[in-house]
Amino acid sequence: MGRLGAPSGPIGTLFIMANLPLANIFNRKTRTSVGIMAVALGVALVLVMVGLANGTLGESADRIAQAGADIMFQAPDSSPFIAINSGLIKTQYADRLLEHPDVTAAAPVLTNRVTRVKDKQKFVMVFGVEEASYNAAGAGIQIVEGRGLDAPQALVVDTVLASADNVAVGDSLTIMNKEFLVSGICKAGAGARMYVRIEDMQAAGNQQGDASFFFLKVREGASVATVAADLETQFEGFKITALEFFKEAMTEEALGLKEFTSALSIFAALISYLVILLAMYTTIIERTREIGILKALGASKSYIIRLVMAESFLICIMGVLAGFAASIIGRVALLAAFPTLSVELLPRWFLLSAALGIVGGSLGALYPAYRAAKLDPVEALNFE
Amino acid sequence: MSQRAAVLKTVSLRKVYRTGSLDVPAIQGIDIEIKEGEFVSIMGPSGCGKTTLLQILGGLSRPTSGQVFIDGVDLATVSDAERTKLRCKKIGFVFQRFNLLPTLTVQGNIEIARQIFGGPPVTREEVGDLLEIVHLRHKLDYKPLELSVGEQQRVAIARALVNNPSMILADEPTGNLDSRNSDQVLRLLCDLNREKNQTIVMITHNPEAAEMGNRVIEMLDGQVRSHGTVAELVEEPEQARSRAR
Repeated sequence: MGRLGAPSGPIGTLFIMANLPLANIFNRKTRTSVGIMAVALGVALVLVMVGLANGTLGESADRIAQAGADIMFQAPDSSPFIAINSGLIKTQYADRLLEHPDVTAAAPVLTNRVTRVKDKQKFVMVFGVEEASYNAAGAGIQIVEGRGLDAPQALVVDTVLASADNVAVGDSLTIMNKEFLVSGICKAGAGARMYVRIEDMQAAGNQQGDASFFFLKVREGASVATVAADLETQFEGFKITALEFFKEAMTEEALGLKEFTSALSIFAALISYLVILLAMYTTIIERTREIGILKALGASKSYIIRLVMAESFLICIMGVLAGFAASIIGRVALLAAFPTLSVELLPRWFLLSAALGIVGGSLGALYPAYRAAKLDPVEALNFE
Repeated sequence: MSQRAAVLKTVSLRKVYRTGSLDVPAIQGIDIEIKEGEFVSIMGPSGCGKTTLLQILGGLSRPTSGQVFIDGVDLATVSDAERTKLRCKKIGFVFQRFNLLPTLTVQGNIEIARQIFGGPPVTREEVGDLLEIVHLRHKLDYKPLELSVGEQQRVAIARALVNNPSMILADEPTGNLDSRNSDQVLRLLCDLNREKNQTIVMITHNPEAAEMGNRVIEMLDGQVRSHGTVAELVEEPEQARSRAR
């Protein structure tokens, strides 16, 4: 096989078919690079932005699921986004919830957000809990260093936050406009990144007796679905979610998330469409004479269209691969810079963003391909 | 020669180009017949319609009126796609400016002509054999711009031959070549005509090049002024002109 020469056999046929588009791609490096970068930008934009949205959402949902409880009990019309504090419920409900024979623990949790830790801007979830009931309702606070919430104004932070912001046991942190003393470091991945005593949080927010929700533990061997159904009957209008399905419930109620991802997808496809349209259109004008030569050699309109489309397809494929690489590198860089962020690169979004890049780019190549196919061979041959 | 079939024939051929509101006649009623195995040279001053005639004969351009027959098929009666197919199958083009694809190698330029034709892919050996005819087997992997102009034209001839067409239409194939390269290209065309019985229609300004052919068609102002052998055109111009009328 010579320089862009074809091997023999069926592979040779395929090679010859790709020969001219490949040669054009490698001989027009600037045009090719711009096309690849534009498609890659669209793909990476979708993957990283949607990954961030899904990651943040998914991470919150996963944390709740990892907390180890079986059911979340919330006030009517509450949002599954527990950071919103959309509906408060009195902690006294614990007694009524424990009246159900299959509920073994009911842990009230009051939630709040911290937007600054050690002068760094953050968005961190804080749970105000009764340590004993919280530990009984699920995996609890798993202390890896120091102690739990054994004193007023005690604060427990998870290992990720401690490491990202150099927080150590004994440090004093101001959160919710109150001074707290870090009493312990807990294992990351479940519940919140910060824990305080529920009465301290209630006092800080003037929310005495309030909780955002209850974590419930169901007796081993009992059906969570049955208990949830019983509670729904008993507490009509209250929001009762089996934590097994919490992520789905959260995603469904994520206001604007679908619209956001749709808008991003359209935007990414538009970038690919417009840049490939421009790149291929310029290429066709630049290569008018070349198209005239092909027509003089007997190339049909469909042959010319296939040629232009093959070239743009190759650019799109390279752009998609570059976009994948940029997204993976971007995720690593983002997590290195902001360890508390979560970027979830889901396989289906890889497929979708690839489809957007390829479809957008291919649509962009259609008009230039049609123009090329319509060129008059004699005029094209005389083009200077 | 008269018993041989006409591979190219035109009847009352006219071609008018429209430039703005002006009609510019390029071909004004041409009736010619070219038989299988003939080597016909078309001569005439610049702008007399030689290239337009060749483009119409090769199906690259449509006449304004009149008929063109390739191997008995009236081009006016076939679709664009069929006309393209016919051109691909029957005709090999050689241009004054070579018209090789600059991004492909010599081998790639020849392969693509076969790919467009739709036949089985041409092997490297076959490409090498074709290049042997034009004495360029060793330049298989070169890009056009790495070749001399004479070599580029010889590659263009090899490309025209890849689908084994029954005729070659050459538009001033030596127009951009020096005398040594011109001789080589003309000898090549003569050999193809003699040895492979390939019909050649060649536009040229050069009377010596025209002499290579069996017949010369002399054009003036979009019409055939005279035709015959070069000797006839020189020695019996009146008879040659009357034959054209």
